Amino acid sequence: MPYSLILVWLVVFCADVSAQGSDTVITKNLREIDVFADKDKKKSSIVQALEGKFICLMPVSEISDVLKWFSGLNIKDYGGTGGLKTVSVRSLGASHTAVEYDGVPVSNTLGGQIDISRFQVSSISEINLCIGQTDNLLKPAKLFAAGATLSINSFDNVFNEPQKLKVNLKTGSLGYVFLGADFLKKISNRLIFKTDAAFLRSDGMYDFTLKNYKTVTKEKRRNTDVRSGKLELSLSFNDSLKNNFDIKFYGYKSERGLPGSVVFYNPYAKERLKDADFFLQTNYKRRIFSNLTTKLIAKYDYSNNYYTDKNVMYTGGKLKQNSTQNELFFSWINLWQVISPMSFSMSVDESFNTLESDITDRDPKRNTIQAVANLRYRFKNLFIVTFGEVFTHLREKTISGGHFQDLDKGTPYMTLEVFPIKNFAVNLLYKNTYRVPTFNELYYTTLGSTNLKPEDAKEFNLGLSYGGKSWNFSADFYHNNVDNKIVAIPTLYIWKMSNYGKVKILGADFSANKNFKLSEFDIDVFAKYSYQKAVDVTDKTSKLYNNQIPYTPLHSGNFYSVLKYQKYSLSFVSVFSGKRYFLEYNVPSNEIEKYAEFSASLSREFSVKNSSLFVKISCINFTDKQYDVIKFYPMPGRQFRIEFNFTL
Amino acid sequence: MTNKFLKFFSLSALLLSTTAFFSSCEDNEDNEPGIIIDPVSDEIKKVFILSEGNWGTNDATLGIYYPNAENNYQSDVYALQNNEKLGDVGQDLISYGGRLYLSVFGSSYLAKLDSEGKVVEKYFFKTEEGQPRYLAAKDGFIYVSLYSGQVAKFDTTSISAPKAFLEVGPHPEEICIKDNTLYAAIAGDYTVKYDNRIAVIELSNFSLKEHIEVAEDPTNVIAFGDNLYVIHYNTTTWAQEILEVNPKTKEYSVFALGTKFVTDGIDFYYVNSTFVGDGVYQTEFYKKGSTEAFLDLTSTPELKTAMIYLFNIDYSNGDFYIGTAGYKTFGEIYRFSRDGKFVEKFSTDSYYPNKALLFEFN
Repeated sequence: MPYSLILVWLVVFCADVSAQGSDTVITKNLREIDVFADKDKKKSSIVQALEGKFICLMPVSEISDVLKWFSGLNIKDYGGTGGLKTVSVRSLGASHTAVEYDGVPVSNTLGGQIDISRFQVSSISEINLCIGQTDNLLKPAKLFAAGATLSINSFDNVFNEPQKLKVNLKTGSLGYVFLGADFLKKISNRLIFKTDAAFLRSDGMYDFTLKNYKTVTKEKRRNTDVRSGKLELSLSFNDSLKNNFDIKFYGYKSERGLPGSVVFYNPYAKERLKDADFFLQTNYKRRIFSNLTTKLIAKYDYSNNYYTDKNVMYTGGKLKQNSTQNELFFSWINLWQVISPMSFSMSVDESFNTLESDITDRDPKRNTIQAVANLRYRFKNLFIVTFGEVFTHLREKTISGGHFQDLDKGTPYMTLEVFPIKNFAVNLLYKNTYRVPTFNELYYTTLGSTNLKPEDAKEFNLGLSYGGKSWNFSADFYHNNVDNKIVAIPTLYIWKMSNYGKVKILGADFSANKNFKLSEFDIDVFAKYSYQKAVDVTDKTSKLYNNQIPYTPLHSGNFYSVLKYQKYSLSFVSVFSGKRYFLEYNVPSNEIEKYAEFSASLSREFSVKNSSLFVKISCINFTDKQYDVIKFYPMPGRQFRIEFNFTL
Repeated sequence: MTNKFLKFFSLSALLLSTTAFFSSCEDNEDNEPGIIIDPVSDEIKKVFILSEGNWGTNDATLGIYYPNAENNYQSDVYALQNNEKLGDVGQDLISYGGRLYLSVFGSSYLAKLDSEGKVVEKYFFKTEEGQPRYLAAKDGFIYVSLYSGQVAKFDTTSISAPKAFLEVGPHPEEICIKDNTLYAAIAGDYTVKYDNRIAVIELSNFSLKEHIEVAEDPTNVIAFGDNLYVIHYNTTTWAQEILEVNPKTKEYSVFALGTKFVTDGIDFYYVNSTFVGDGVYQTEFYKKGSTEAFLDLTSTPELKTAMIYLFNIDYSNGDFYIGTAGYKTFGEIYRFSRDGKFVEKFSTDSYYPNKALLFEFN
């Protein structure tokens, strides 16, 4: 069976910053302002965020480039614009990270991991990563149940003009063309209409250097093209006092080649993947009383992926596998300020998920009810403590064969934030989470197993942060345990999914940023470093005991800076990763080399009558470094991009 | 076969009294195979160890084990000799006419090697020809089963172009030759449905004579006595079974549960390795027609709970080679003498060793 096929079905898709100064955006510890915002409240949390207006200055082509700047995030990048990209936080595993788009969770019950390559950088207004627990209690229970949450927001509700049109055009190396148009119209003081359309194409086909023992050759990556289109229509009603209502329609289609891993002497690659995803989601929030807010979310999602491969080994010379998922999701959230320092929230979600697929004839149907109860107590400006418990009730059925066992489970969490002195915060987190097996893991032909139990994770975090006027610093120390890890086990002839794995993770993330001014230059500098020891502790008698798990470097980090001068911006980004292993056994033959990638961009803003034109030229990987994130999936070398952003 | 036993016993005795020739392991920074041995002479007995590697990671290897020497395993000889790696999924290895023939499934080629593992000739299968699986040889020809549903025939004087292709059924796996007939296990295209046949090919005119129906998903076939023995996968019980097939009457029966088998022409041996959970297997070794254990596992109890991936015999002296596939770790080879006594074990420094082949001079 082609490796990419297993990869696709086990990996696939689908998938908060506060500005310190007026123009620059600095990543800092922050708290999202909850409904009962009090100007005297201290701000602290474990949230990293970036605003869209900062991202647009940077040499990035895709959202995965942006996410590489977040501490604790491990991106599995399969190379090229069309390559799949998944996100895992602090080695918990990609399925433990929830992704939220404009306030509503994105899910993928088939593969469990969201392919973030579908989200466009140009339409992001804010992206933030919350490790552990979200500060905002007005969230669905599903997000409280995850080990981390990645929130992507496209809608900027602060909009005071009658209408605005933004057109974004990008082109560059490897046949890359992106065209996006974003139109906002204020229908009334309270009603905004937004439409966002985007089209992307890229040929890929980049050159790479292949090292085969002592033989070094120049090769070309083939079957790595992508074409995708997206359309969003949104309506937002906001009377700023009592009612907020959003409704969004989203449609996305893509087709891409799957180049597969590089196989020595055999460059044949004909696997293709088509995705389609359509959803309709609504958010309604109302302040019923001055101390009681309620929120309702409803979403219907249809997604389909269609995989094909051409090879003489298949009957008829072609393999086709089609999968369709449907999801209906509801959430009802209530936040009540009981007495002034104490607030209580409760969220109840219900989701219905179905799968019809060629990979299984069981037609599973899953009904999940999740509820979370949170209690928060603020003591003056000294500390905030939050307790919560997530409850999950899951029932699944199939038309034949076994199915996932009934699940009724509760998991607690606790956070404590202390503000001993001005601008300084200490936070503690304990959280117990789990993730249920995906449809692939349960039902995929002979690989799936209905005997699987959920994976368990426990997170502990101690964080320190300082947020000054022009500089910020944070340090987080964490310890995570994953138990009952779902892995594929060879049973001699066939592989089967099994709960066989325990991982212990110890890590530290450090970040600092500073803003300073030199004459007319405004400079922001950011640096991040992560240390992560994530080891297999499944079996003390095994040679794998205490081996670093695959694709987890011990050392990694990034550095980026933005220099502004009048209407010009010059930015520079570097990302580095220490050596890591691509297989579980830590031996030299399983090592992947360390790498550092450097990129830069120069941009200028022009005013044209009542509109503005923003032009940016970027050079990504300007040292043309040849490296793999995933072994035998080479990354592209040097690329150039030019971008035009026209705002009317 | 008996003459060969005597020939190699004599050679071995001669060599034991000559000089040793190993240098120590070297560490090197580029993850190259360690140079352990510097072979002196071609007459020294060697056993080639083929390791499949993982899928999609280009880590198949061909190593050499020198049974009569100390510090006697050289990993990845192929890379040392050819300055490039074997490729993806080392599938099968046979020796014939003083040469080795090797099929590499993922990288899709057939190679002819000399006695040192150096490539003499390679044939890269075209996309429409299919990827190679197993090998057999007779009368100056090499036969290769291909996932396109064919068996290819090569002339050993030059493998630069196949002589002929024959359609035999979807996904032919192991092949074996008995008398002048080639038998191929037809596993079937698992994405549609499993097959359940053995293809019967007349070698005199390289034509498909007939199919013998057996149980679903047959993957391995060897000849012993008047019968064929076939391993198939029982898709109801999820167990592998050995079928005893009479090629003349075309009747078959389930002989035993088994996952690997081997014969030296005199006896038939098999092993059953079943997964019992948490990365552990329950493994038992059997000799056909005997209820007594033919291997003494007292000093190697770990074999009773290991996944057995390799089970071969050194035909020169009857030594058994048993290879384990460690769970995500390197495979190890255990060598037992003909009378079942443990001799030694070594790590292959590779994943999924699947063939131990004595290099014979024909």
